[in-house]
Amino acid sequence: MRGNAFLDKMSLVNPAFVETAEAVSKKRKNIRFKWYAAAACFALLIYAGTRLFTKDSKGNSTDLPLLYISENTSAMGYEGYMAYDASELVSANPWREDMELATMPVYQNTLDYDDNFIASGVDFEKMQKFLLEVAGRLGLDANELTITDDVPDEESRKKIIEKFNEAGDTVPEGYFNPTRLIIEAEGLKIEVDRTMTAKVTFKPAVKLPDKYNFIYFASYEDIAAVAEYLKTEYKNFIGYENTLVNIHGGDYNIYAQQMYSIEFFGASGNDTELIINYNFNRTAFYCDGEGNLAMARIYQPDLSKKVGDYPIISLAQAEELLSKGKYITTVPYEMPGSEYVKKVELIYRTGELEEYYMPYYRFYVELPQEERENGLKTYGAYYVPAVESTYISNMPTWDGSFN
Amino acid sequence: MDDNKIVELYLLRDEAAIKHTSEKFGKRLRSLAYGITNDPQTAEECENDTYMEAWNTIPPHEPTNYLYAFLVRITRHISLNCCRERSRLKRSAFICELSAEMEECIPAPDDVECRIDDMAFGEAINGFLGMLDEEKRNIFIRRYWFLDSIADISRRFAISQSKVKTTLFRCRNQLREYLEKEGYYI
Repeated sequence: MRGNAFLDKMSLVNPAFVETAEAVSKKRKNIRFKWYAAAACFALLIYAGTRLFTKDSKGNSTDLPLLYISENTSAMGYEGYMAYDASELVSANPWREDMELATMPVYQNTLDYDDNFIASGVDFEKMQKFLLEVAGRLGLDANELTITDDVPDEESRKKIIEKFNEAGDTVPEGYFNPTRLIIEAEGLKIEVDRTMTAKVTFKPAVKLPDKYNFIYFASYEDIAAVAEYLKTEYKNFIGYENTLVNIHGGDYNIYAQQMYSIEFFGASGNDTELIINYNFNRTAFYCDGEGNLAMARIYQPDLSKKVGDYPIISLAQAEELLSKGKYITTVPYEMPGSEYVKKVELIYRTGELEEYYMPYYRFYVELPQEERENGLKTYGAYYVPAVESTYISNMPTWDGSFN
Repeated sequence: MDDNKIVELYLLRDEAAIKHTSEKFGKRLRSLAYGITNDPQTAEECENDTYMEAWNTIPPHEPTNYLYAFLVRITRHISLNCCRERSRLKRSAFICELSAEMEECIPAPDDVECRIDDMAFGEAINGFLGMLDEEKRNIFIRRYWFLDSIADISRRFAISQSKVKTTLFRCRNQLREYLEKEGYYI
């Protein structure tokens, strides 16, 4: 019997079960909300006490929820980095193999997306607060600012509705919900989106002093010099107490042009917080084709829904899982073998559609089939969950499918 | 009107049976059909086809004590076939997705002729569902009987989509293990 027939035969389910699922679930939702309202204070009172009893003798939490890996890749192509040698691929990732990290935090994405990519869980208050904070960092007076959003005007909405109707469809609920809050001021446009990313567009783009070479294919040394300048010049905007520079990239495009990017993140007292800052709370600067500062982004995703501190596996254990096909990848080739693993780092996947922000080992694997005549190699990215597999409900297994 | 009186009208070949069926169950049947097909016009067609099917199958069936269950099974079957046959409904891909999920429950999926009849399958699936706690059972049935999307189930039960997926994943694994253990070869 195939899945199709199995689905058909589900009609043989006991009608009593069917009627219960039809009726009881709706009633249950109301009861759940009443329960939450009544129990909120009580839960807070007992929280401290119960925390003492949720760890086992090894200190590992025994009530950590199972995690689900969402492999959402809607982009075309695959994640591969071209370089003559993997050592050219650089970053200031603070993770090191000899760090003693028994657990790492996992956060739930506060946003939920339906089949039409309409998000729920958007916190417009937080977005507005962040927007005004960024404006303040740029010297703008909040009292003189008008906040707008990206909801289409009446005429645009009518056109969109017409198009849906022509296709025999209706506009999904929530389609016209705002996704960004915007401030426009002289020389600046600031937008904060639902992922809590603030994008600042400089209009016109800001010219840097002549000695700085801030162009797309500038050398590492030139980009590092620009970074030091921006770190000082935009200190208030960047806003971290102790700022660390992250010059990352070093990969090439198909014209053998090498690129580096500038980011900053905040230093912190312990390794875990440093890794979290590196992955989540960062500021990036971008040039335009003329060598001017055109844009900046501040990433400050909502990490308020911490699921727990999960035990993580060692690099050696991750390598074993990699060799067994237990990875996520967009690369259209099976991992060619451990001898082709040229670089590894621990990172968090922070894509908008991730249901959980959790750590992974990212392996850069040389793809022998992709080496070019000029010697440029391609290193495909293969991700192995760093969280112990007992906490993952759908441990990935490569099945040869390609996005 | 009582179900047994409605069935009696079918048996007497009185067309008032359809009218009473529609009055009593029409809204629920259409709602089920809409939930599956996601298209109001198709849902209405499925509802009407259900009445025709009921007219053609009562007699010999006499669902005096289970008329709604009888009708809703017909509606589900018709709606599911509509989705498969009409790709413009954009639901055929969703049905494929559900079929693929169901395939995970089959102990040894292959092309060998099905060796389980309806009675045995009913016994198997209901035995398994009876073992689940109520929430898990309801979630499983909403997904694979009512063909709800993950997002809809999440909203209906006021739980996260992640929890829905985890619950379904575990249930499918448990169902496969149950079928293997009980010796049901599918």
